[in-house]
Amino acid sequence: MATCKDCSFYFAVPENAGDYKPGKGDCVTQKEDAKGKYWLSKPTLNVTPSCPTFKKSK
Amino acid sequence: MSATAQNSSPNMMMHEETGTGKPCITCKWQIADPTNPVKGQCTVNRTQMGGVWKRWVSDVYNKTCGKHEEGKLSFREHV
Amino acid sequence: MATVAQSIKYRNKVVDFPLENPEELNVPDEMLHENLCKPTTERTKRLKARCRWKHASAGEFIDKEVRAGIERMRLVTESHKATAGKPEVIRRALGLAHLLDNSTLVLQDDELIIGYHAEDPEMFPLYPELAYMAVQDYLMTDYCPQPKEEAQEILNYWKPFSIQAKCEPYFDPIDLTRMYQVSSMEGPMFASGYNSIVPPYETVLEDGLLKRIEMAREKLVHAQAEMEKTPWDATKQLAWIPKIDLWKAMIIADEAVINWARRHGRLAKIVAENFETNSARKEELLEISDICHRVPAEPCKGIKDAFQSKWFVFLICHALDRYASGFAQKEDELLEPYYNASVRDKSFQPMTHKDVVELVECERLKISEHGAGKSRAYREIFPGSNDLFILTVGGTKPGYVDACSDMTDAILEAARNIRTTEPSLVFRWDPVGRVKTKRLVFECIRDGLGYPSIMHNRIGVDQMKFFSKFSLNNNGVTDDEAHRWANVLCMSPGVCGRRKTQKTRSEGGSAMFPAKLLEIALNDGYDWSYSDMQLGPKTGKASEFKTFEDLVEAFRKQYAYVCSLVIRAKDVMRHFECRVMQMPFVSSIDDGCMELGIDSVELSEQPNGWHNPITTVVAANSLVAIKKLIYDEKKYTMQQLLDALHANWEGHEAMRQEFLNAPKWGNDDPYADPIIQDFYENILGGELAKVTNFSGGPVLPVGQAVGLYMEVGTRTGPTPDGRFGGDAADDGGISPYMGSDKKGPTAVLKSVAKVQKNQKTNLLNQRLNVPMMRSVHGFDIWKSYMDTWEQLHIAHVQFNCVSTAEMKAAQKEPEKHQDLIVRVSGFSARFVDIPTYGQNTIIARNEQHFGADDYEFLNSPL
Repeated sequence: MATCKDCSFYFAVPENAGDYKPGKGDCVTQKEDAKGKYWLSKPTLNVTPSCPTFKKSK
Repeated sequence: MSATAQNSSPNMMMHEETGTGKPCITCKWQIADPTNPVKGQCTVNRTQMGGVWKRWVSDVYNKTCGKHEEGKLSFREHV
Repeated sequence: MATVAQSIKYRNKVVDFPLENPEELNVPDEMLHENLCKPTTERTKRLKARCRWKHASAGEFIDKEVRAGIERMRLVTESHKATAGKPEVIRRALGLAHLLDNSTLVLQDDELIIGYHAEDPEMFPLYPELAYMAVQDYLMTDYCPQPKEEAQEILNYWKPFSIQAKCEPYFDPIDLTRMYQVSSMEGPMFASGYNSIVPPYETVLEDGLLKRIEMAREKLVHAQAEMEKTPWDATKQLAWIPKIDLWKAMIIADEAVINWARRHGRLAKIVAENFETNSARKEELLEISDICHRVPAEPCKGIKDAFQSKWFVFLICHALDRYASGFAQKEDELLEPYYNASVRDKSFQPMTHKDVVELVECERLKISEHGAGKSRAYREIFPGSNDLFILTVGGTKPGYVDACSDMTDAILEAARNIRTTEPSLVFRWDPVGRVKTKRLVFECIRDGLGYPSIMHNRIGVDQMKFFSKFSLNNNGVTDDEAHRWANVLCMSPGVCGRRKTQKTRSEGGSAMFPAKLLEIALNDGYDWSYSDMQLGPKTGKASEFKTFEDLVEAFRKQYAYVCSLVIRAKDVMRHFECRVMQMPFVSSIDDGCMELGIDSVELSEQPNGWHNPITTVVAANSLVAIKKLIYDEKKYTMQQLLDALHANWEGHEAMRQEFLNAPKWGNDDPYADPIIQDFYENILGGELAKVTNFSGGPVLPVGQAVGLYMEVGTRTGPTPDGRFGGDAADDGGISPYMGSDKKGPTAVLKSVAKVQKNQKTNLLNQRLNVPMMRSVHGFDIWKSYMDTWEQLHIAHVQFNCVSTAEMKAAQKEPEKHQDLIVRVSGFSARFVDIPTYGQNTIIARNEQHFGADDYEFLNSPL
């Protein structure tokens, strides 16, 4: 089963970050509505099962 | 003559009717109480200047009156 | 064609009023304000065009995309469950940390200042730990947080823990019912969650949070050593326990804020490197990333640092840790050192003055789309706006040295150029203030923004010193510190700086309504016109009052009951805020809390008690009419008046005309003014000043109406000033009733100047004539008016400068008038987002025309 680790929207938290935990990452996605473009960042874990916005990383 | 004026007939005036099929909560002239969501305000009385002379609704589920109309007014028609 | 003011004869010469900008002759009156918006850059033009306004009106959001988010509710609840058993202040810090560690971050295109407080830019957070009724109300709306079932479950969990549930048992249920109606008094803070704060931004910008953490660590080491001293003395050493908990909580909170800011930095970098294709924007995002990594952890070095650090602190203090309205700060002095570093010295983040103006415009647009999860009462009473966001500029530094700077000018230029309803500005007017800056103040007002509202600088300074005398720890503001004040919300000055600032609305704020109180004083405390219940104490049948003084005494009793009840409600709230609503982050950035180890809601070094009488002039004009027609001239009996009022004057029109034409406030009238002066000073001010609040100081009146003049008007029956039931009340705090000031602008000033004793401030709304203000003489006339106002020692004034033609055109075609802004009362609003009736009350305000006598009194240099 695909997990966040395999997703192109998953960015691992650097080890020197204050909120670093092993396997923790940022899920960053681009959104757009009638008022413009924006990006959301949500904390996630690399083992989390993939969600509908999953896009396999290259 | 308005639904809540003091000299309206009893059935036209706001009154208690437990289990009524036309409770204030569904009426277009009712808007929520500013603090307590189980209370409300009747806005059917309109003033000469176009304002609203409100009456407090102590129980939005069990009060009704002869002016009951289902729906919702736009913000432009309130105060 | 634009209207040009008529020529007048003044000091033996004819004075013409050509427009200052001749090109405006071709702009029709109906479209003037749609031609005034001039964003400083293409970026701010784009940002304004796509701004996610969150205006509310009549309790609803205008934009149907706006809705409540569930994320904050969910995260604070998870933390509250997981931390049971720990000291409450630690739980509060852990709750904030859990929220900041796990919340969704938002970054929008084009932004220079980043950060939002909900999981989507169209959302706003809710606060179930405050008022359960306010959240329940949201759950019954179209903008309910989703999934609704989960939101209801969260609310049910919080109900017994909420601050409302903790406070309610200490009040008679009848008193609660009376308070919740918002007809004779504003609902208590514990039932709405409405709040305000003045964050001590200075410590964050100057020190950075890493230094604050270090300070707390040193305090902990010292406290532990004190605890371990021998021989043990419980009477002294046990006192270290709550301090140790608080300093630990400060460290938890500050570390969480740093990590959260750096998460933003990471997001900006990820977007730059993985999503953004425009190379210039990539560079901007990488710079933003660097800034968010450094601040608020470190001290600010340049103006970009300062705007970003301030924004993060704003989000924590006003939206994430708990809700608070306002944007209180002395922004020009706060940012001046960083302006100088970047613009004057070019030592860090070098830029031009125009670049700073762009940053201010960006901040204004951030505020414009900042969603507030405020209760229904507050979604009703600021129609056409988002929330009360107000900052202060101008005034003086110690020694009455002019505090205006190029930063002040940048703030004013940005406000004039970008034209947003929020944040509103306050300008502290002082004779030493530089003319260049006063000219910019004039331009904002002339262009119809309704702000800056003007506060009398020296009254504010003296007020800080007055309240300082009541400091419970003898550490109120010094004479020098008294100069650094800003309005906490619309009208009330409060100190700014590194310590002693106001941290909660339980110190000052909220309202009571004299018009309704007079109505029930005429009916033995009974409210026949709105709630059909006993709304106050029984104070006797009005028909049996033998003298005017008997009636005033009945009013005084009604008012005194409300005064003590509303202040008690605030202080009971404060009692529980100290126990379960501590603010360790705010404590960490206040020098007093850091030094003493006392939480910021509890430590009150500088009292600042106030409460707002609203609808005063309806009550006062009514008293004048009663005294004249019933007690002095005996033309009518009290019973006849009561009968007419209960019939809403129907069948009594001739009588109504006599009451309507009795002398009215605002005309320098020798009959009305002494009665009304006494009412303000000895009844409203005198009775309130008898109260002592949590901080040990008196409470003083701040007359100001917001949209309550309409809302309370709808809950107030007909009044003896000739007003019909439901009609609006007076729109200021000391403003004449709309249309009743008939003797010109200087007569208004003369009336208002008579009220001086026992007041904090009172709001004076004036409407100025557009052609006069836009003429070549506009600034000189206005400045002479302002100089006279200052000399008359009047605390406040604000102006509408919008033509009736343009407002009526906007009523017909709202889509063509999105940029038309008006001053309501204490805030500015987008005209087309106000209910029709509210619009009509603004149109009905008397537009002041200046005659030769007025110019003579003002000594206008025409």
